[in-house]
Amino acid sequence: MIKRLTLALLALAVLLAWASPAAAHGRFAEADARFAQTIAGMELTVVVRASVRVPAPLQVDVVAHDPGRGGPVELAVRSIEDGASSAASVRIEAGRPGMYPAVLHAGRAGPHQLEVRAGGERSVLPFTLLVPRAPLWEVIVYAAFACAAVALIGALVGAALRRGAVAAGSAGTFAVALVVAFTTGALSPWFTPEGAPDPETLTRPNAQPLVEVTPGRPALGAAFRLRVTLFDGSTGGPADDLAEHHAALTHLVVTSDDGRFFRHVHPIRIATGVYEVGLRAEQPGRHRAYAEFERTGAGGQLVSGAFTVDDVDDRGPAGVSAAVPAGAAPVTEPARPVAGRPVRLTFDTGVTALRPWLGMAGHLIVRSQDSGYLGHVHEARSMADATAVRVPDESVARYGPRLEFVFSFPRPGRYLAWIQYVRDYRIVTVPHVIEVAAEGSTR
Amino acid sequence: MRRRAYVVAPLLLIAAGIGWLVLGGSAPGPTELHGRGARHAVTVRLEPRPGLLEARLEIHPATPAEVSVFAVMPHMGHTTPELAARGDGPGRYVARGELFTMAGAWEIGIRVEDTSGAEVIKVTTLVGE
Repeated sequence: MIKRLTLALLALAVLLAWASPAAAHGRFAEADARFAQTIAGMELTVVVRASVRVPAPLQVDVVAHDPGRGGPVELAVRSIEDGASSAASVRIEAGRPGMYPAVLHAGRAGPHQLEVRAGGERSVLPFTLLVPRAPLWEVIVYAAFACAAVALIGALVGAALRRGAVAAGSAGTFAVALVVAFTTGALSPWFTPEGAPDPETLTRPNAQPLVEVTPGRPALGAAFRLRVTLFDGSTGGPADDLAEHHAALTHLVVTSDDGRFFRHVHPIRIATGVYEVGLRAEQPGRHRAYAEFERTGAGGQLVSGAFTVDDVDDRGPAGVSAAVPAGAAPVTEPARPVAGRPVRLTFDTGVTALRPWLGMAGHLIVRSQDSGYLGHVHEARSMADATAVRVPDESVARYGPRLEFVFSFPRPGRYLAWIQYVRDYRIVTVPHVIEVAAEGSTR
Repeated sequence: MRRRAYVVAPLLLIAAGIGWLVLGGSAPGPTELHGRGARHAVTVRLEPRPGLLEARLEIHPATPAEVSVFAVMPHMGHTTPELAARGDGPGRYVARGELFTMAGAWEIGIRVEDTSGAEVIKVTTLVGE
């Protein structure tokens, strides 16, 4: 009986000793780096896939949401530390949205720059190439637990075979190994690597924008470039510490005052703190550009600026003009939204297998009619996915048909809304107008 | 006898460890939260977890009121629709539905509307998996 139990115990101890280190490798690697870019008339998301080791091939996928007129996209990755670089290119085909893979080479981990060139435009995107590596304290803890397991087995065998010295020695080793493991584990918070962002220290100053268009007053129907230069609110220097925020360094929403013109684009970084995008003026009158970004170690910020497109708008006031795709109109619940209270807005896209864009199944942009307020709401059901180590990948079509957004409109009045989602890699924009009543109003 | 002890004692230790891991997980239990506004005090009892749940509310003073609850996750910029609460005795209300869509720190807003107007009382809770 004793022998059988001893054997069973030994088998269990071996199993535990085997399972523990294996679990240490069960965690996910670092997440991919994503950069949405509006470049050369194309809306792309450049995904730098996570590396498990260096040196090694580096997978970079270019997801073309709007291929525009297509053309070559040159990619280059350069290490800031040793200057080593690697280049590759993909050719985007007009009319074929989708994934275009490229393979570059990563020589080392650390700060890098990703250069994206297309159609004479060049964007330089800083990112850190991370390679998952177990910290020293974790290695010590698991090694100590492994030693403890072996020592436990030795102690049991020694006791069962009446080898007092072996049993005592192994028991002592077991105790020492456990003390080492628990002590190292308890002290591990002091061993975290320097430079790790602390979410509690949201101390960066504000950034202030200079919004310029070239030419200064774009003509109706003409192409123009919109540039946002960010300056630090405390030092006056360039604010060039933007973090990847919902798969882009900067999200830029440009709307005409009447809401007929709407673009949600992602400017290229052309210089330190300078972001630029090419657009075409399609509506006359005053426009407002809103840049949404997040400085490293700080919360999100929204800055805005205005410009005017020359011509006379003789079409009168209106809501939004983009064609609504086939399917039901968005539904608000309650049907008569009240300012300050949560409203559920649902939209039946009519199709399943929607793909994520910017990490979410859908986006809702809302703007007050006077342009004074801009909200960016994420699809409610996909928000939990976005916090996972690996955010939903553009290649996985698993959302829809129903998109749900919940939002509290800050003030009564008319709001212009745009729902955006991705179907077959293409971005679909659904405009909508929402009238929001005041609390207690019977109107 | 000593041989048995060498075997039984580690076995008990391992069984206790497995029991702790299996039974002593992080499953959230019912939580009681308290909040006070300008005119009302509220006690909320619920199990803070994602998915369908039942929130039991006690409002003081127990004047007739329309009561609803909603939740906001400030870190994620996420809010959930209002759940209307039905009366369950003087000053007591029950709301059923989905209040949290994911784990994390949430603010629960309890909206109390009576003849004097509307008031939103906020309490915070940590939602487990």
